Amino acid sequence: MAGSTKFAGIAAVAVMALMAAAPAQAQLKHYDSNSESFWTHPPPDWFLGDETQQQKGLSPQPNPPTPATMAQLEANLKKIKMAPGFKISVYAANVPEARQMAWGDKGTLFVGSWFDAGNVYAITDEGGKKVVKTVLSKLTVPTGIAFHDGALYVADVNKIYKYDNAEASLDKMPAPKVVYDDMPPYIPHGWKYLAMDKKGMLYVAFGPPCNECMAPTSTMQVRRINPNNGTAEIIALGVRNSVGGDIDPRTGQYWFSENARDWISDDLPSDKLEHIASGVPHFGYPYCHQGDLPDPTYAMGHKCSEFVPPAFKLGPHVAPLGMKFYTGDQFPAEYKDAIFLAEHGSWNRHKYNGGRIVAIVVGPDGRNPKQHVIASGWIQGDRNFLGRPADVINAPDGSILVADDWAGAIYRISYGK
Amino acid sequence: MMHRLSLCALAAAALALAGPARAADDAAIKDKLAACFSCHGDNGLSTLDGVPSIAAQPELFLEWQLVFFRTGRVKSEIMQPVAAELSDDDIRAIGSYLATLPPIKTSPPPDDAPAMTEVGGKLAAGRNCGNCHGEGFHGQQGAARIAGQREDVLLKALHDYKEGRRFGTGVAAMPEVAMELDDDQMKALAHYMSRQR
Repeated sequence: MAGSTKFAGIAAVAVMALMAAAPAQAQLKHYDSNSESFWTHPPPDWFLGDETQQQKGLSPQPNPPTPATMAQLEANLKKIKMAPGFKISVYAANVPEARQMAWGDKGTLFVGSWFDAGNVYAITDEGGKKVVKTVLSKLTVPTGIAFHDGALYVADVNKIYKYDNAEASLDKMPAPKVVYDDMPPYIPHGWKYLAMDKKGMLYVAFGPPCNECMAPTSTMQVRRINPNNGTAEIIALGVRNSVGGDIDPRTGQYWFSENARDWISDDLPSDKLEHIASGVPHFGYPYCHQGDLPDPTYAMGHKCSEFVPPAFKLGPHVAPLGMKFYTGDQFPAEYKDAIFLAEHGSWNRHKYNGGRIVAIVVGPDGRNPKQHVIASGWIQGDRNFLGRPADVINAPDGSILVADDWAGAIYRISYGK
Repeated sequence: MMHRLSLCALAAAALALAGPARAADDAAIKDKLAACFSCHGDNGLSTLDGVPSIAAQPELFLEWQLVFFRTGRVKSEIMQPVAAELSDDDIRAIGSYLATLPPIKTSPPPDDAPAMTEVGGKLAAGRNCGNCHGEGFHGQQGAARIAGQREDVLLKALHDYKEGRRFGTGVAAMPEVAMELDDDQMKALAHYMSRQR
C-alpha cells in the first residue's frame, strides 16, 4: 500500500520569473501528481530550478567515498575548538556516512547512514575497543533509526521497519516488519529522523520534494506515528526539511530543527528551532520563513503573523540536523535539559556556516533561549569540511556522542578531568 | 572488439584473484592501474564500446564508483569482483592517480548529426547540467567529467539512471533529470556531450 500516492491531486505551482527592478510576473505551472512516476521522481525543477545568479555555482558537496582513517580523525580533532572544560575524542572510526544514533538496551550503539552507504551499523565494545559491524545494508536512505523494547526501528524513505530482538541478532538481523508505510516514495527530502517518546510513539517529519514549492498534501508536516497499529496524526504543519527532533523531558513536548529554503541569499533566511507548545501549529512554509520573512514568490498574500514563529533562529544555512535534550549530569548544571544540536554546515552559501555542536539553553515554555557553541571548526576556510556533524545522543556516562557523516566517525564530547 | 573486451575481462579477473589487497603499496597499485588500463584504454582514455574513459575524472567521482561496485550497489560482472579486492587505501590511491591524467585532447570527428548536437546543447543548458558537472562539463566533486566521454557510455548512463540501475551521488539529481528525458533527447544529450572538450 503506497498510501500517500492516494492523496495525489494536481499540484499547481507558481514559478516566478526573476526580473531585476521590475515587478515579477507569476507564471502558473502545473504538475500532474496523479502518476506513480511523479512520486518516485518529482520533476527536477522542483529542487534544481531555483538557482539565482547571486548563488550560482553553489551545489551540495558529496561525502568522501571512504571514511577518514583514525590518524586523519585525530589530526582533524586537534583543529576543533572546544568550549572551556569540554574535550572531544574519537569514539569509533570506520562508520561510513554515520547519521542518526540509537542505543540498544544492552549498550549497543546503532547508527543509520546516508544513501551512498545505505547501511545500518552496530557498534559494540569489546574489551575497550569499539567494533563496528554493518548489520543492515543496501537500504536506500536509512538515516533515521530508533530503539524501543528490544526492537530496532529504521525509517527508509517510505517505510518504517521494525527488527525485533535486534541486539541479540547482530550477526543476522531478523526479517523486518513494516510498521508504517503511508509515506511518499520520493528521495528529495525523503530522508527521515526518528524521535521517540517514552511510550514508543514516533515523531517523523515529511519534507517537500523541492526547495520551495506548494507541495502536495501529505508533505510539509510532522506526524506522530503509533508503530503498534500503524496509525498517525498530524502534529505540525508548514514544515520544510526537518531531520532532527526530541521530546523535552520536562514537558513531554516535541521540539525539532528545521532547514530553511535555499537560493535567497547567503544571509537569509535563518534555519529554525521549532517548539510544539500547543495545538497543531503551522510554522509558515512555504509562505513565510524564519517567522518574519514572507517568501518572495510563495507568500501569495499571506502575512507572517498568521504563523507560529520559531523558538529560536539558528542562523542562515547552518543546516541543523540531529538534536537531543541533555539528560546527563557530567556537564555543568546550566546545560541540564539544554538542547545539544548538530549543525551539518552549509552548501548554498559562499562562506559556509555551521559545522558545529551548539547547546541551546531554553526554558520549558520556550522563553529566554541562549545559544552556546560547544565545538566548532569542522568548516575550514570558505568551503572545506573536516567533518559534518549529523546527530548527537546522550551517552550513559553523561558525555554526548556526535555522528559525522562526512568523515564517517563517531566522536565523544566529555567535560572535566 | 570482443577479443579485446574478453582479454581485459581476463586481466580484471586475474587482478581479482591476486589475493588480498595490501595498503598503499606502490607496486601493487601500479599492477592494479595496469589492469584498469587494459580495458579503459592507455592512460584511461577508452577506445572500447561500453567502457568509459576514466582519465581526468574527479577523484571523488572515481572513488565513489569503486565503492558502489564494491558494495554491489551498482552491478557489473567485470567491475564487482575487481572492486571487491580493493581496500579503502587502494581506492584512494587509484582515484587520486587517475584524476591527474590528462583528459581527451583530440578534436571530435566531423559532426555527422549537427541537428542532434544543437538539441543536446539546448537540453544541457535547460537541465542545468553545468550546475553539478561544472562549466564546460569537466566534472567536479562527485559529478563526472562528461565532456568528451564516449557517446555510447553517456547514453547507457542516462538509461541506467532513468531505469533505476544507477542513482545520484550526494544529492538525488540524476534519476530525476533522466526521468523526464525521452530516448531521442537522451541520444541528443549524449551526442552533444561526447563532442565537448
